Amino acid sequence: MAAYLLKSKNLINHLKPRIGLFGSIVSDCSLSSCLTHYQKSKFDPNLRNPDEISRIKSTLFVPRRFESVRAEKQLSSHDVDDDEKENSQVLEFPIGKVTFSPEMKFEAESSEQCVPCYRILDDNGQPIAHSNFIELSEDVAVKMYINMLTLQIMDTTFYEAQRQGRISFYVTSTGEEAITVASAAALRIDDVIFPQYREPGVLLWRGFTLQQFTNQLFGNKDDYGKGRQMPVHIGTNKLNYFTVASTIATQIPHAVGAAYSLRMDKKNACAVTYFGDGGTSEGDFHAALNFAAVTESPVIFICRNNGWAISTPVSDQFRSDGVVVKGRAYGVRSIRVDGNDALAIYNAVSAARKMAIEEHKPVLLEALTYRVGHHTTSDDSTKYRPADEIEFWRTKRDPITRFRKWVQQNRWWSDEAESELRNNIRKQIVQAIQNAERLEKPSVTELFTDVYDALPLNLREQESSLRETVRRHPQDYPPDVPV
Amino acid sequence: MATIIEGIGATTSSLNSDRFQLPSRRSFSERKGRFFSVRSEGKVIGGSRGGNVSPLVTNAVATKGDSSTASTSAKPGHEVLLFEALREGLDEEMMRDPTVCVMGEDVGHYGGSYKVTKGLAEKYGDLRVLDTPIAENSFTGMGIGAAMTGLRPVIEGMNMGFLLLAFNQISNNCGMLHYTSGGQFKIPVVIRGPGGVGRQLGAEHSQRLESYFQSIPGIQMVACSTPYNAKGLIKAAIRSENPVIFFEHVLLYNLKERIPDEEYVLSLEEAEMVRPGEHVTILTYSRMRYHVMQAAKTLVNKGYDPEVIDIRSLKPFDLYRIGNSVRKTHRVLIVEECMRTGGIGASLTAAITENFHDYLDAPIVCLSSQDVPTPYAGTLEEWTVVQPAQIVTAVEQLCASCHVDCIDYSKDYTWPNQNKKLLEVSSCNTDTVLFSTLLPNMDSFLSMQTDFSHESLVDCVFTLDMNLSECEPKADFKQNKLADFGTVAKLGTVNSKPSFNLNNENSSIAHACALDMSL
Repeated sequence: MAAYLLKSKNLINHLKPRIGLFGSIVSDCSLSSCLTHYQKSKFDPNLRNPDEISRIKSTLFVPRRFESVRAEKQLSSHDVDDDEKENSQVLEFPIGKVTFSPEMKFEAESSEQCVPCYRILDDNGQPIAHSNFIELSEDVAVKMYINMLTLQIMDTTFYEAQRQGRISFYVTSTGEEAITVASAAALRIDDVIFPQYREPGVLLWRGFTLQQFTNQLFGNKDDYGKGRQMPVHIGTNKLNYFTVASTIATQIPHAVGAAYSLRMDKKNACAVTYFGDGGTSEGDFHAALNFAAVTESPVIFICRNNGWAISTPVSDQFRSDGVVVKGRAYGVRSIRVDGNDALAIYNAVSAARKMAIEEHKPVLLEALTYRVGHHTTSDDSTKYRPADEIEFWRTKRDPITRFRKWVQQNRWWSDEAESELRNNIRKQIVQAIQNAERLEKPSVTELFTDVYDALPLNLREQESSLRETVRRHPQDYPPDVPV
Repeated sequence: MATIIEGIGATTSSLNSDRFQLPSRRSFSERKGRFFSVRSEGKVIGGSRGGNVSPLVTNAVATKGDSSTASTSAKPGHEVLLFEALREGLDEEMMRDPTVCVMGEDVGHYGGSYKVTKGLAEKYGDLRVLDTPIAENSFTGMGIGAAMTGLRPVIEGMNMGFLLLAFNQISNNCGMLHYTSGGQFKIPVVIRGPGGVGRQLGAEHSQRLESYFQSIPGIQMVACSTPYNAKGLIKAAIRSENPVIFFEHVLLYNLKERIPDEEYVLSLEEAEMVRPGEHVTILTYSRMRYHVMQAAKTLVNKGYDPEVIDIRSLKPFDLYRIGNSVRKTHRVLIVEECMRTGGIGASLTAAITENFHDYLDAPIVCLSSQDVPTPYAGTLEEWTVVQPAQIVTAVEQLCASCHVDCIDYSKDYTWPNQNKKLLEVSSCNTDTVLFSTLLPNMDSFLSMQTDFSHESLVDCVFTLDMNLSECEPKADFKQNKLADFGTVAKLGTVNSKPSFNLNNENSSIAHACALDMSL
């Protein structure tokens, strides 16, 4: 490095004092000789000479297209001249004003310390001293707690139901209840949600009933999706919760588009999208963050970094410091939050919402957590991670227990209320399952509707052909599906 | 046939073509076509309506005023280039509906790579004409998200080939979300862009994506080819509630045409009759339409009368108009720019064969590009695209072979207004077609006419079986009336099925029944 500086100094001594940016260059010749020297000696064996290299190196970073470049080069050399005034020269590039520095400094691939994580309650549900947070009202806090517990019991019950063969498939949110419920609590009903698939907590908060959940799982005629999507791939326009698609991260650009739409309509609402750590590897994630920043759309990107993408741990997913640092790369404000701390999530999302709507700025929120359950009922996570690790997170780091301690400490909850609620919910779910099982499935007509707004000719033909087949072979046709 | 019938009956009413309409699978066509056509080797198909041989349409190009050289100032409408027509359509729709917006690369201040969106950003602002970064999958996704929340985005792919990157969003979300959400969320997007083989654009920029998209359920596809249909179709696409993929062609943007000043919207599912004809149906779309029309000029000079249909709607096919044409001409040639394997022509061949097999006299010929990436070299590129000379050859070959297999009209014919079966084919071989008919009464028979011309019957024999139990015989039915159109071989009853048989001198009788004319 020092050698380089020395050489440049020699060079500069040949140059005239600083002149204007686009002025004619008297000392052009020395620079041009530099450049031509580079061109001539591109494959020169003399290139082995470090002196040659350092001199040539100074020309390597100069784009050769425009006249003014030579002047810039000259000016930057001037900076070097003055050791005290480092970074004194600022020049405009298409990306903006850039200060120059003689120090060759590579931006480190990661900082020494991880980005700190925002949390309010400690592991025992006690507010950390000097923490600054919005106080929750009793109603909101109790509702949050009830929904989180409902979600947990719902997950356990439906998981068992799937194992018993009563439903075909299920996705649990065990360990991540705080993220979905608390974030939903901080939003308004007008805020549109673009979920991945592990966010039933949001629906619970917004009022989706256990019966409606169960109907969707059984795909019966009361399912809003008319039995067309997998279990837990719910969508309801009444609650502004957009239908889940199994594809990873495709909902993230949708959220940006929706935010764009909200902005065009000047609505006091934002778009919120959820995804996991694995989803951040998809191209859609990066382009969507980029777009959101460029279009200044009111989106909140909530990443549930639960450490696992099926069997892929985050160490195999990315090498950056989690997801929070990626926001910076795209010009998106970001924060890292303790995902198992319901209060912290609530506070962070409230603040993010305000920023998004008032400042038209997208916000990235990384919620650190752990996926206690399996990826889905088709997965057995003990195959790729130790059972005691799972147990540790299930018991010692359970977000619901932690929040309960805080709520009970405020005397808003009690053990009696707890056991009463548990019984209640369990009964409700069992009843819901029984009701859902009894209901008919959607009729065969629904196989063909909604592909387009109106049934086209080919689908009408195909439908009548199917009906004809059913009529001919009724014994091969399931009895509980109306024709 | 007209002359024949006139010969028979006491009452000779001239052909009322309304009563004797071209059979249609589902309903009557308004098209007045031929009753049947039988050809012998090497003969040019004749035949006409009402006994008159209508002159062949000598003007090969029958589009709106395209070939006219009259002064433009006196004519209504205004002249535009195709890209201007698209812009007009976009502009009118954006004016009419504030939720319509445009997004794509360089569509804003740059005005679009093909100038389709030029001037729109200045007029409607940056928010409604959005420049996106280079991430096709994501800005298509963005458009889908915007559509689900109430906007009507028009997403432009700079070249259709780039939309391969957006396939995930188009297939998995655009096509599916209306369905999987149970109809709760609709996606009224229009995804448009230029595709097709241009002039030395290289393999990656010369792709025909209609082949890849055609299977996706939930989307519609249209291809425009003239300024008139470009404007009408883009307006229809924007107004449609379904996602529509709108295919333009790189080489057609500078076509000039006079289009109406008034607002008009075309139907997304209709094909366009470019040139009516009699001998062969040529189905085409987009740029190939112009190659076909060029070939048509040559064909007309050679004495052929091709019917050219621009199918426009690539998904779903307008089988109604295509079917009517096939029933008329019985020969189909498909000219497309897609690759041979799995292209639009392949699907169209399957659809026509499935639905109209009985009307075809020859296998469907499909002219398409070879299954090769488009080369850069100009000469090679020219030969990877179907040229007019190939079209002419194909038509000649198609028309040269003609035979009648078995035309089964029984499924289609219904007596006008009475839903009774009119005519049945009893048997046929190469040169003869035999029909049997059940007529409610003699009057109906006598007034029945077809549109054969006398010449076409030279080599054919037909037998009419009449179920007289349902007829009220007329006393004045004269045997000798039948002699007007040929020799009556025999009249009598056979198998208690009264009928009469007519044949011409030069052909043999395939089978004979008899009619007891004394009834």
